Amino acid sequence: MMEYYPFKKKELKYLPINYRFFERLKLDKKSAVIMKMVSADNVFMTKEKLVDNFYKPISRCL
Amino acid sequence: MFVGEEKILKLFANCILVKGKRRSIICDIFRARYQPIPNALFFILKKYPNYSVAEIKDRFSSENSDTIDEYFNLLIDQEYVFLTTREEATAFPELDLSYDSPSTITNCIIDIDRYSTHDFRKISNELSLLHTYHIQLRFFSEIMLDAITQIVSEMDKAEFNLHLILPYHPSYTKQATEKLSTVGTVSSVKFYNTPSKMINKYKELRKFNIEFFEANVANEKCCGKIGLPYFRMNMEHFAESQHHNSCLNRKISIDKLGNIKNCPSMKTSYGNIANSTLTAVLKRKEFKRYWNVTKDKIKVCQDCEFRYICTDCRAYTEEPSDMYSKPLKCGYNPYSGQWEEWSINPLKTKAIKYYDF
Repeated sequence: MMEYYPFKKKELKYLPINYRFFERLKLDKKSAVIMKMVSADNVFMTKEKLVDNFYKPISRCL
Repeated sequence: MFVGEEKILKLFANCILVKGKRRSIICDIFRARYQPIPNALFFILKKYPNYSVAEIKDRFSSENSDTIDEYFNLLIDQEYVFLTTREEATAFPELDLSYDSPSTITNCIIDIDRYSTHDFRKISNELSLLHTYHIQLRFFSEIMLDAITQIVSEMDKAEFNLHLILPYHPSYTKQATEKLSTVGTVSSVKFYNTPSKMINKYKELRKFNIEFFEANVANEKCCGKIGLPYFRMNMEHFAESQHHNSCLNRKISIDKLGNIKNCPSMKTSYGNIANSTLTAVLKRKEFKRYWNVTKDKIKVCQDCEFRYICTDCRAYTEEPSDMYSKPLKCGYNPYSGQWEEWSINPLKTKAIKYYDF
């Protein structure tokens, strides 16, 4: 899979939130096109943002 | 005339159509956003996924051509769709929306007031065995920061993300508050009951995941709100919502008296943490009865375009005796596409009285 990993080195300090998506696709050369298309800047989130963005609100009182 | 009419219009795999009764949305689960669209456009995108723009237009009368152009241009501008060739069009598989997690319990709420006698070390060990990552501690009474630090140190497991919700107190200094976010595995701190002038003063602390709110969280009855601020547009939530309840799946809670529940706001207790274990409670079949209540099974919600990005509530429903009833604190009407204040809806009066809000 890493063979098709399209991100620049400097971006690797961020954790790609959609990494699992790439993994799940079991990429071949054709679907690698998708990776290029979705590799926009806002796909990446800092670790802090990820924590804040827990996938569902634990409670909703505030 | 649309540029590239011979090309195939495709939704990005992460932009997923969700149909509602009155309108639909395209939900972008990577960029955490959604675009409301008319149901007519939903129909076009759903029915003609591998048709060129010209072929789609051919299926409608010429008077619709400008409208279709307008729709498609909007979706291209906003990067919900892209144009590709017929040869390449089959190279874009749909997203796999199956859901699983290595955690038996993904999130836990622990309520605490001045009379609570929780053994945090015991709870912490149990949650660790269940591979729980997110734990929310809700304090309903004033508490000194030192006491919180003590509780956090008793729950010091590397895998935990602790989220604190506590009442604001004038004795909390900016430095002490900032320090709190660095203690142990604390991930976020939210203060409620904050005077409005202090909210601005402490605004910069947001970068440390510390936030201040004016609203009061007097007790567990304050929970269960449904609205735009609580929407989550990410893959995990979206995928989980397809198969499970978007609030209670893999959740466990301990209320202020130590009762083990699905949610502290619910009545049913499955034992007390003082003389039972979370693992024992999880073995009881009835504890998981809400886990698979998806939004597609819930009345009214099943017709709502937001059903996979909002978070459900089974504690407070419009019809308390019906486990498939719409959440009481949702003010959205998917049949009109309008939001309204839920607490003044005359149709909810009976339930509001029942729950004593």
